[in-house]
Amino acid sequence: MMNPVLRREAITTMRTWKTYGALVVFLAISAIGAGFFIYVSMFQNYDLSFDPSLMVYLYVVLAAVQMGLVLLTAPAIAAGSISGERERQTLDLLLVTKMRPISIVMGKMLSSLAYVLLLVVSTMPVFAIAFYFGSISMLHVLQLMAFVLCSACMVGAISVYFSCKFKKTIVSIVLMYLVIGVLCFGTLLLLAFVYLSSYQIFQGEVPLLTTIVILLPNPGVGFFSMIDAQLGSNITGSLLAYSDQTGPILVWAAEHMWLLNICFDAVITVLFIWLSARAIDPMRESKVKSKKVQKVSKGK
Amino acid sequence: MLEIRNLVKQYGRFLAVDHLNLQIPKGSVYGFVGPNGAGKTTTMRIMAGLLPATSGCILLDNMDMIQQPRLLCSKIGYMPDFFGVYDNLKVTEYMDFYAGTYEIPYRERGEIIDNLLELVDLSHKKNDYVDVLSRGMKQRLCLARSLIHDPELLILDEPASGLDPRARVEMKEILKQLQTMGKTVVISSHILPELAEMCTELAIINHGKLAAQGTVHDIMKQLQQKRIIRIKPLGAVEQTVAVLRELPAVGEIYENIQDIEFEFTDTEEVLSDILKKLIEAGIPIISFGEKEGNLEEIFMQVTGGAEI
Ligand SMILES: Nc1ncnc2c1ncn2[C@@H]1O[C@H](COP(=O)(O)OP(=O)(O)O)[C@@H](O)[C@H]1O
Ligand SMILES: [Mg+2]
Repeated sequence: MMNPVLRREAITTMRTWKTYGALVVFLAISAIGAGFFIYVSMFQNYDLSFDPSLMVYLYVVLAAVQMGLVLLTAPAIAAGSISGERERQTLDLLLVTKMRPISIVMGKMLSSLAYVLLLVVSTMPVFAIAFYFGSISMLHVLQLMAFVLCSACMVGAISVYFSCKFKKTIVSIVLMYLVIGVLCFGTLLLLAFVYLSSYQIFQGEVPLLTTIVILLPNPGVGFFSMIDAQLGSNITGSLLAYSDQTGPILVWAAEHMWLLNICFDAVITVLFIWLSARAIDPMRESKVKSKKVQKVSKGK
Repeated sequence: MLEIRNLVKQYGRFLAVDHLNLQIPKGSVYGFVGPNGAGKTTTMRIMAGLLPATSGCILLDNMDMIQQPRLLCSKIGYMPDFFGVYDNLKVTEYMDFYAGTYEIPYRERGEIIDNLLELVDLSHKKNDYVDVLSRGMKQRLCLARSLIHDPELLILDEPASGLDPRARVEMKEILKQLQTMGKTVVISSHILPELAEMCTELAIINHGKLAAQGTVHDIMKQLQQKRIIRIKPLGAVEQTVAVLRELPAVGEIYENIQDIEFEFTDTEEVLSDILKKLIEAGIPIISFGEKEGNLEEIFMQVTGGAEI
């Protein structure tokens, strides 16, 4: 049986003009991105001609726009999922039912993801332009979508957790943007700091492992690494794996930052879904207590 | 049967429910009365599994609800004092959603929903959006929702609050029907007379403590409260007083211009005997009944109205 929360969200979401508004905006931004790129690339040539080989970069631009849009919209979608129910005074009605907190959270997660998926899929026609001129395979686009969805999962799960914890949706959204900021730019700043003070910390060069660990949670780095791998340009690999002494595992890791990033997303997603389910479970406190009581009585 | 044993709920250092003990028999309509802040909502939320108790236990058919909350949520229907509905959802879809949350198979839903909407008189609103229904309709819809999984026990937190008199009457009618369906209903209100009419038993709570429990009659007896009966005879006032004086169950008699009031402490049977005696004595009687507002006086007395 389909998750009832997901089912209901699907019905109500498709009935508001906001959904269509978001679709239009999403599509418009992607199309404007593509148009702007084509316009600019035409001025690269003296005769204002159109160079199909540049269309590979159109794909990169579109992918980046999509990734950015998803990172910006996912919090706004997911951050209201639980607090919205609370504000509307429907959460209690949901919690007294047979649904477990985990399925409520899953329903919310899945409906947020479905929304993101809808937005992502809606931009496919724009991608078709890059497609039309070759050099990008369908597999690449699917891989990109999978990666974007994994990032959306991570962002969504943390947003849902904030949504459980904070009464006001806006607080959760702002916090989530902060978290995304820290993940995307904070990690880079930290890396820069580590590099600048590498002689104090490591008495030498920064170990590759440290660099990888710091960059691992960064969705931007993951994205860049994946596009890099798709185009076969191997920029990330050469940026990271410079030392000859590094082991093969680390080199592999440096060349597959996107895969590591997906793993990070998966772990965070599972963790925060679990935390969210705990956060809305009204009887958790008493469960903890009765367990304690059991332990005490067993101890005797 | 539902049994509440030594239930305590503390908010920080504040005792909202203070060692509450209650027995609610199967099939009864049990009223929960107390002024605002007495702890009714808190107790009901604990019963519904929405709030952990600080200590004590709640037994439904001898099963502890705190140990097995999953098992019992299918036996309990809960309607909170304040609740909302979803936007952009039609009445049947709303009901279907909650049917889903109780894992009712798709093919059984249609009939269940139709029957429930019939019960709460919302069949004609089937295809309307829930967010535009009137307050009374939402209240009834929420009641139907709480019945979707055919629970044994219904917990209704102030279902009549904020309703106009007509909607209240309709709500009462529905409750009567629920009682004939054999459901145990626990219903709260801060207005005693409102509940007294429809409940088989009552508990008056104040400051989280049980102040009185039993049928309306029991409670009055428990409180040694004299009931005031008002008789309106057609003329023959003195003759009526003379008959009343002879009867042992009649206490102090107050003669007014139009009617007579007397204090009474015995059972309902004795009361009906009094009326019989008066009629046998040939006194024309226009009305005979409990003085209105009396219940409110009790309520004020029990809940320490003097403090306010
Ligand atoms: N979450 C809470 N935190 C602190 N105090 C609360 C909370 N909920 C209720 N109370 C207090 O507990 C008392 C009982 O409240 P409640 O059960 O809602 O009363 P009633 O429903 O009988 O009007 C009130 O004094 C209220 O202020
Ligand atoms: Mg209340």
